[in-house]
Amino acid sequence: MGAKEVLGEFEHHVLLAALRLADGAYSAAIVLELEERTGREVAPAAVYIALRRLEENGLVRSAMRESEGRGGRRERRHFAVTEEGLEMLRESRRRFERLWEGLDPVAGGGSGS
Amino acid sequence: MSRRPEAPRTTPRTALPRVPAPPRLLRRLIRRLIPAADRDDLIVELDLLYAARVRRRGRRAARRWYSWQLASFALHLGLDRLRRRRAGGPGRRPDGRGPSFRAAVLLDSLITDLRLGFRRLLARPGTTLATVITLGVGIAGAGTTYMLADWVLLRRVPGVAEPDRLVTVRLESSQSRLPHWRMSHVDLERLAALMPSLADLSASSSQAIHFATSGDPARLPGELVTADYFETLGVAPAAGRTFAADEGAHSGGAPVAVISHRLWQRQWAGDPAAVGAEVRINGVPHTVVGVAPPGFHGAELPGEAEVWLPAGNHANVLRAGVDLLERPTAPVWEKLIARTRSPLPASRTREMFDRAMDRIRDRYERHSFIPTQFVFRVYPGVGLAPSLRLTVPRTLGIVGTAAGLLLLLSWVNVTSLGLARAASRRSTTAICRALGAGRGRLLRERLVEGLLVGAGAAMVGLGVTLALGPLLRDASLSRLGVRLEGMGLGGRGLVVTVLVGLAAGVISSLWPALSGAGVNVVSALRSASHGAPDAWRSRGSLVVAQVALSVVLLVGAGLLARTLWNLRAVDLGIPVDEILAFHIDPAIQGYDGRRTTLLIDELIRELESDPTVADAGAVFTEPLGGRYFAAPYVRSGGDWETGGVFGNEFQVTPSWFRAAGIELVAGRHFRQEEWQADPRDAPDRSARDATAPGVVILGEAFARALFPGAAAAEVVGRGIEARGGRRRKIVVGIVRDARLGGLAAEELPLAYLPWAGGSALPEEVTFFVRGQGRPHAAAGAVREVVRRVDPFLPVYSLEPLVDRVGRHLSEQRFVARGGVLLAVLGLLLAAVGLYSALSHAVVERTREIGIRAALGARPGDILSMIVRSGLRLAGLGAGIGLLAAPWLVRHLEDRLFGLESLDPSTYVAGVTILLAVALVASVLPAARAVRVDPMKSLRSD
Repeated sequence: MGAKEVLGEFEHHVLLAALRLADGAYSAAIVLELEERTGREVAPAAVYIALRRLEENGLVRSAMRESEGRGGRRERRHFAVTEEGLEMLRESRRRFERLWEGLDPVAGGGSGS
Repeated sequence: MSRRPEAPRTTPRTALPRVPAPPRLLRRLIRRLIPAADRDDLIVELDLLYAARVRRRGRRAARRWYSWQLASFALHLGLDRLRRRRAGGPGRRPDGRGPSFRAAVLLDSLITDLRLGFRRLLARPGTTLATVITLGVGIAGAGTTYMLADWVLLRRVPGVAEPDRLVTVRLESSQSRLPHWRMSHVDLERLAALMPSLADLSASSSQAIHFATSGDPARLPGELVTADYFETLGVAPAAGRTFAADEGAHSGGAPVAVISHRLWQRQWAGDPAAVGAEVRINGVPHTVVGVAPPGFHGAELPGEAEVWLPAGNHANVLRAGVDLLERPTAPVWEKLIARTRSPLPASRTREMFDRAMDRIRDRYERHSFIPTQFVFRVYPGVGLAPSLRLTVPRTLGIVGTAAGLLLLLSWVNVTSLGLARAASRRSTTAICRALGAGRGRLLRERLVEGLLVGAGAAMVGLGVTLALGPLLRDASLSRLGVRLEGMGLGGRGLVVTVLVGLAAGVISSLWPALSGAGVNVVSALRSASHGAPDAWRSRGSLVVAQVALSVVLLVGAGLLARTLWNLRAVDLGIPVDEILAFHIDPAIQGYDGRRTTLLIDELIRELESDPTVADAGAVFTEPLGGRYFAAPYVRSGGDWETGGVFGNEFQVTPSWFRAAGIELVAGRHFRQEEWQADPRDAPDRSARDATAPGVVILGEAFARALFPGAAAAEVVGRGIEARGGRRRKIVVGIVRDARLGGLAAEELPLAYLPWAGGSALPEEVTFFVRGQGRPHAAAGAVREVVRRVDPFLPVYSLEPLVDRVGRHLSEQRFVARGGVLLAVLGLLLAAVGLYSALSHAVVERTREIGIRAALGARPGDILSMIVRSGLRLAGLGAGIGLLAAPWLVRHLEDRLFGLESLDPSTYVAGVTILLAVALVASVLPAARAVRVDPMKSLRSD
């Protein structure tokens, strides 16, 4: 199954969170990151499913690795955004920007994306 | 929890003393949901999130959040799986329309149905709860019955290999099934020789034994077995060995014994040194050679045997010390256990045995001890004792019938509720149909709803069943020989209960579903607010059925409760709460008649010299034991045809009357020399009978029956004769009557003989001891005295007589309580059914009631109209119930005491209670009808 052309909103969020967390991107951290940034409650199950789908589509890859994090040092599954995933993010950003073009006065100077 | 992750090490940065852990059960459930590959990782991540939430929002909020995660994971994973199926995962056909696609669609719509069903059920929480509980009660009955039946009938004997190749064989009378005959050892050997096609043939007899290690001797249930008994059953010892071949042969083998695992644990705490230990069995030293596997207590359930002795020990353990194994006519073996070479139907095995027996009879004629009226009865497998194979299924049948009725009743109720709802949904259903919903679709929706109700009911049923388990275990069904210790529902029972629940749910939704789905759109829409007359009719007939069923239950329970009442009120004629009773069995300890007499005499003397004991006496047929020896008597010179009376004989010591508190009315007690006279002093029985007349003391009732019209004092000194040429007896005394046969036994008049008047050695001797204070006070003296007189003779069944009477009552109480419980449940269900039917009728007739009120009907008229329609249904149901009850409760007949199964007052009481409840159930909805505002009800249309 080839990669979808458009990212779902939630998948988009998860990818961005993973990118931001860089080395510390494991599922609990992603959940907390998303909750902090969006101000909404995020279901761990949804994050888990999204990561699984993203990985199946080749947008992230994962590896078990020991790391220091919340709750101490232990082996956990870390996610990293692949080149393909990065390309997907860039592509959707470009799409958004094209859509936002010329709408800044209406939106009242918000940060576009 | 076994796979708890390591507690995360705290770092100086977080520096938390303890990481809060989520609820264990939830955690385990979520863990189950997550695919195995990510399980360990993800569950720890969830722990972290939980901990973070506890810090931020507090423990309660975190717990709530965590429990949501269970649903969330179930939902997300389920949806994900569905999406994958639909998208046609890897390896699927590109068009994605394979069978798995259809399954996914079906699953999807099923999920939708389930969701809708849930929503609909939750929208009416009251009705749903009533439905679930009602059905749940019925299912609990079914589950409990299954649990009982499974435990009693389907359990396997622990340790026995390949039970399908085993048969249990007994010699039973061809006329009646219960009396059975013991086979001689000689015949067993002949049989084995004639049946080479059997893989194994062994035999056993239950045999109480006296067992002593170093402490007090105890009386234990044991079995006398052939040496190959354990091999035939395929039972391997837990320690040591079983019997060697030569230990089964004729007397003279070294005395050895195998003990049960339980006895091993109890006496030796499982010490391997028990094998080889010396014990005293019936006073004779034996060597323990092995230990049976755990749970094995003989080839029967409930098994009791604690000790097994090979046939070679016969002389050591049986009364009189005669070698019975070599006498072709000595009854030795109670039952045979045969192992066939392949599983055979019982009828085939029986043919084999019958052929062999015919040949034995032909060949040996007078030298075989199988009376011709006895035939082989072959029972497949081992397990439930043959004598119980008849009574237990009957008792279970009663329980099962009651449970079935209860299930039927609750089913009827739920169906009635469902019909009422279907009726109130007619217009909704009609609109759905009009909008294009197919009949099948509607039907499926209702059935799914039924499935949900069934699942809920199954949970309720399981809960009640599990709660009932311990209650039942405590109940003593000992008279039936059924013990329920260790009984549990088990996996099979769980599955059965859940299946019954689901089936009951679906079945009870079937009728309402059909009536709803078959709705005629036009007429339903037109008559939407007028109610449906046929719905009322079918609901009415259900209520009638319910009432009829609960009348049956009420009458049955009433009969049982009154039986209990009658039994409690029985005056036994002896002060049972003052008497301490105990048994000894000197005969199996090798005492002969003369020594037994001396022993009893010494015991009574010693006991009476103890300060805690006032009176002590012995009797040789256990009073209240349910066994008695009945013999026909006539007064001397009287006519057998007109004057013959059956009497119940008890052989007693002179002091027994005082100990039993039985008052002398006329004449005298026995004299010491009368009971001590040894029958063996006379050369033979006929000479003995001819020498001197015996003496007898009669109960008042017996004296009256034998000498009608004579005063007690006049009977003293008269002669009576027993049938069968036994010697004449002189009546020396008359005593007050007592019920010695047992509470519920048919009471025969009583004749007391001094023991010497009897002929056989007593099997066991029952002592009655009356203490100075409470009966328990003398217990210490009893043990002490018996120990002093014979240290190897065990005292058993030492207890106040009142406890024995109580045990008799406890089974009856259990049955009566169960019956009353069922009846109350049945009554409640019937009341709920009547109430719901009438309530719906009131709702449906609101308009009619409004019109009546507007036209001037007074509240009393409306009230009586509704109540009358309720009572009409109840009355009809009660009538049907009254007709059906005699036919159904006749199965209780042999459990009743002091009343007939057709006892009119019980029927009247049952119907009265029912009608009173029906009245209340009708008045409530009627009162609501009275409050109907005519204007509102007319406007509502």
